[in-house]
Amino acid sequence: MNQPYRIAGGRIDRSEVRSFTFNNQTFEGYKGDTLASALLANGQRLVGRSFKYHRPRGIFCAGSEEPNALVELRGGAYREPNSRATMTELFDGLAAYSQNHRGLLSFDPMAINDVLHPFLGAGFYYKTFMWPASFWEKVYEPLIRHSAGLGRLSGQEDPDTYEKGFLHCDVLIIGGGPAGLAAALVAGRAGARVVLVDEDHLLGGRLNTENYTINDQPGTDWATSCTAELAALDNVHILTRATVTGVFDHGVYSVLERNTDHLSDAGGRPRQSLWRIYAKSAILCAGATERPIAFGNNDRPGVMLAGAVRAYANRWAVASGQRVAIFTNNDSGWHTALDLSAHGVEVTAVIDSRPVDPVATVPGALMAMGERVVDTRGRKALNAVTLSNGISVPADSIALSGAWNPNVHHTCHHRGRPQWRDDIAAFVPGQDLPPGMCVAGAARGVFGLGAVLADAYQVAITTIETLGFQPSPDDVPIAEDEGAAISPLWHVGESRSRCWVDLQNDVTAKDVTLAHREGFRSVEHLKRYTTLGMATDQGKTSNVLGLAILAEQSGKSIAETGVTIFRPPYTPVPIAAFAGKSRGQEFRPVRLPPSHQWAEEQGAQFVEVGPWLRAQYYPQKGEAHWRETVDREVRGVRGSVGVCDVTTLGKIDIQGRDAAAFLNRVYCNAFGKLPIGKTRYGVMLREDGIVMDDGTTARLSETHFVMTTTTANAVSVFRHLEFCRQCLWPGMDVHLISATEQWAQYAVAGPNARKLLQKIVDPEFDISNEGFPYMACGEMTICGGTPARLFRISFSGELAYEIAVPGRFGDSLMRIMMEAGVEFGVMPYGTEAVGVMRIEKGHAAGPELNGQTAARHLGLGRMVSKKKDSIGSLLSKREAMNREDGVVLMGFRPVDRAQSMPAGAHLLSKGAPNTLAHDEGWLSSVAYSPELGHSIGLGFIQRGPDRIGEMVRAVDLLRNREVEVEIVPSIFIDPEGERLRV
Amino acid sequence: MSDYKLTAYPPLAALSIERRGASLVEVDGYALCSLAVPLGGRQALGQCLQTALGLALPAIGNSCLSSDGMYRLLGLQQDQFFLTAEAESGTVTPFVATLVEDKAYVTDQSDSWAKLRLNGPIAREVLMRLCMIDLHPIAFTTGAVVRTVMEHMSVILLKESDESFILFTPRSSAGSFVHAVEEAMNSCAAKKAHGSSS
Repeated sequence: MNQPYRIAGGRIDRSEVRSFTFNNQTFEGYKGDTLASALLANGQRLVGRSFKYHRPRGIFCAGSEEPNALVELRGGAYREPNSRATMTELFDGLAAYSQNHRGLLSFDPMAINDVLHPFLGAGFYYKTFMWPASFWEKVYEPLIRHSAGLGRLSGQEDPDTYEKGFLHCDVLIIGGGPAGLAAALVAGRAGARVVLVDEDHLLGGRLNTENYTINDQPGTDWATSCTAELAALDNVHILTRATVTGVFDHGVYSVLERNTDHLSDAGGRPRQSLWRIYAKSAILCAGATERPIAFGNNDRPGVMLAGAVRAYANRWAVASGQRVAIFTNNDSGWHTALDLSAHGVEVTAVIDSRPVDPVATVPGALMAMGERVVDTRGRKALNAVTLSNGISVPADSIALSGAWNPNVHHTCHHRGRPQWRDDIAAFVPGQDLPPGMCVAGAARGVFGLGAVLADAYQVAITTIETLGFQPSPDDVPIAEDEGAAISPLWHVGESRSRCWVDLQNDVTAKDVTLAHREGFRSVEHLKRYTTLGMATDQGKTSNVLGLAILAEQSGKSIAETGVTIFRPPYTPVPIAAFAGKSRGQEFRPVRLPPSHQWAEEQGAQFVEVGPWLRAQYYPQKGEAHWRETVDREVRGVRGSVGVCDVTTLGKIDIQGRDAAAFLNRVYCNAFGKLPIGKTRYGVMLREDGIVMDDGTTARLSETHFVMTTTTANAVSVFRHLEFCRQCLWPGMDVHLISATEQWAQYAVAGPNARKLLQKIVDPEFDISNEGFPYMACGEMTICGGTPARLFRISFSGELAYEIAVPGRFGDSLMRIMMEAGVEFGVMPYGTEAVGVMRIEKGHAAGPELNGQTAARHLGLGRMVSKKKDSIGSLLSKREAMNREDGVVLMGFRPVDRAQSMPAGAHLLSKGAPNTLAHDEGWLSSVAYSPELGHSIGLGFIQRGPDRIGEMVRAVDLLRNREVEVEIVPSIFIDPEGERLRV
Repeated sequence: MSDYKLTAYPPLAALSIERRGASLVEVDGYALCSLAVPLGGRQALGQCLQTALGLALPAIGNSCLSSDGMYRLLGLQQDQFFLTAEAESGTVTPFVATLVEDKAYVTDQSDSWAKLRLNGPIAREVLMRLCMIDLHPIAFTTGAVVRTVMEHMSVILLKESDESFILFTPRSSAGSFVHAVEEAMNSCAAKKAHGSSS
């Protein structure tokens, strides 16, 4: 029979049939069903196997707290493991699969674990897999991982898209149940900007699952009319199918919105949106979650929470069984009994642990007051329950209520501690709430619909008044307060069978007892040792139960025992949602220099330098190895002329009456008297005397300088200068702005550099050696009037210039220089050739400016001016930095010239053991010099200048290499710098 | 006279993207320069710009349009304004520098940024996916400007009207930025096509 457990009524649309599969078997449900309600309607009680013992499990709840009914949804790359059937809206074609079993769901050989349970208690892994130690990683862990675990990932790239976004509001309302709707109405009507978030697709919360009356109309109708009114308000933004997952600093909340999980086809939409909400205030209306009671075999399919049984009957028109027994310690179970009776479902017994008179009359039901359920029967589905008085009652479902826990989760995200209230036997939010957050309704322990509505009104009014809004004079909706009257019962002590506390992690009352016996007294330790409250449900139904049992064991009160801290996320968030669009090529922004397109056309190889993509080298046909290419580029530059895009170097425009004085303070060498039209090399120190960065700065006018920084430090140097300007010397008239992107800048280097430039620089500008000498700079025009800047500076050691034009001309300038340079055999060169030539010239770069080296170590000690004060100059006088045996930057070459040297190798004297105590320095940069025909290197070695000609060993223990090297001066080519000045 | 002539290219090759409810178009032929206020010289600069261009110095987060609509001054930080203008030549820096003389330190920024116009009824919803700033009309009014970050990239955002925003983004990463905006447009357009809000 189709849907044998479907009953009359409900808030589903029977005119729209939804077909779905579970483990490839086809079923039908209706629009408005969840996967859980549709499975129950079809009598599919067994929906999965438990984590450790592989026991048959069914649906336990009706909401996001579900610990048991986790399934895999969809197929192929779209597979989504650990999805809660209770939160999965049914759609046509939905394919769901049970998880955590080998072979068939109905016959799982791993259920042998259940027979072996005496050996598999808490701490089993820690105690058992001790020996031999080497087995842990290779044998035990893979074995355990294979046996346990929940769903499987697809192992393929996620084909869905995800997005992130930002929302702002005056009032964020977390939860759209009766309290949330009431609070939203108050705030919305007063004109506050409201964001209302609920995890259901239908607002109303328990109004949709109970038969409540508000203002003499059905609760569902009130919810519907509230929803319509709120949706019509421009200042109210409703997010359904959305969960507030975390509360962060400064009123920031994270919300996961599920856009298309309820659809068979996303239709181009992002599957989920991760919103960051900036809220001036928040009202937590998260309601409460029912908790179970631990008794023997309380985990069989058919055992469910009473509120869930009621929800399935009232909202989804599904009976949880044909004969339902109620087990309760409060009035909630009685509501279920009455609702089921009204729906015509047979209630076989109401077992109430309180020794009181029956709360209501339930036709045909055995009234067992002051009794408890001690055991259940039925392997794959429940068929009977045994009571403490020895009576056995037939039942294929138990509706279980251990009373309700306020959902205090979000109140603890700033480490707030909940407080215990004896009268409702539950934790309520403590005093130390996240700033701006208030709590209303059941979430703060106000039970009863009338009281909840009144509370939400009051909290909302106070909240919006604080924000300066005037609440409209509405009357609080009138509703009755249903009773609660709990008398705590956590664990049926006389049960001989195992009593489950945490269904998701297979933690039993005995495990909690064992943990206590073995010395785990803190709830946090209990959690780690037994796994209680871990995994996807984070113990929403089990935490309080577990710590209540721990409290019983230790003889302390629950208040003294405390609760484990709740941390974000409230419910699981896919990693893909955190990543959003930041995946693949879009993981982070890419910066392209102006010649990028041209370089691509040349077939250049690119290298990432921070976010920049720079041309590394330009291979030509017939070149088999990158070194062949780089050698050719170096020879091309040193033999004639080459061009390299140096736009990526930081350019900082510095202006102001005090600009020169400012530079004098931030550079350790003198800048105050740099003439207009000149460039100078500068070294910038940190406060502690270590070199921060180096570069050149040009003076364009009395008040105008342009500083260059290394590519890597462009941002950090700018930040440092802003700090100096704004915080250290606010009285200086100096202003900074980045001009890195403004100018496309190219190094033009080689003996023919001037000849090439003379073809493009407009003739009225004299760039002859006399007219524009080494270290000159100037503004001029090129190619018939385009403004440009020219700097005669050299990193390669050749006659060289850097020419800059506004960025929009960058691509064109590269092409024109290549065209104009044909007669000289102009050679584009990349970062590799730059590296080779700077090592040949002994110039320090990133590997030398590694945050450990001071000016003296770099052989630049004399640059630190003693005639002025500058950042770092004082601390560079420290004794330790000026030791006679300190390291100094030197050159190195292999004794056997045919050998290469390992960069990063440590330098040790011949015959010294390879220990740290004998370490004398390190090789920082190594390259092959095509001009010299052998490997060369720069490195730091103690007393370097005194040891020229000495042979030492370069030892690389990581790569197991050792090379004998000779200490030489750091400048390998043109030590007098004659080539620069021709 | 040099035999060569340089050609100017806009950062995004005159990009234009249309989606249901929004378009993203590169704006070319404009100039941008920064004006840093000399220490103690705010009043002098204000008078100079008022007299010469009819521009009042805006507060941080606001902009001021000249009476002829030619120039817009953006208030970006304590001692810094950006001046933007339509300009075929691509720069107004020499003109502005001459105009203000020593009353401001002028730096050309025309080539530092790509300029984009995001226009259409869902423009704000697109930006809500990129921008952490509150863009609600009561919080971010027409003429408001902010320097912020979107997808790790620096952006100057200027509101022209409820449905039109100007986005300046660094030239070198403009390709990555456009991709981010395009993805947000795709997402919003798809949601609109299916009738859902936000």
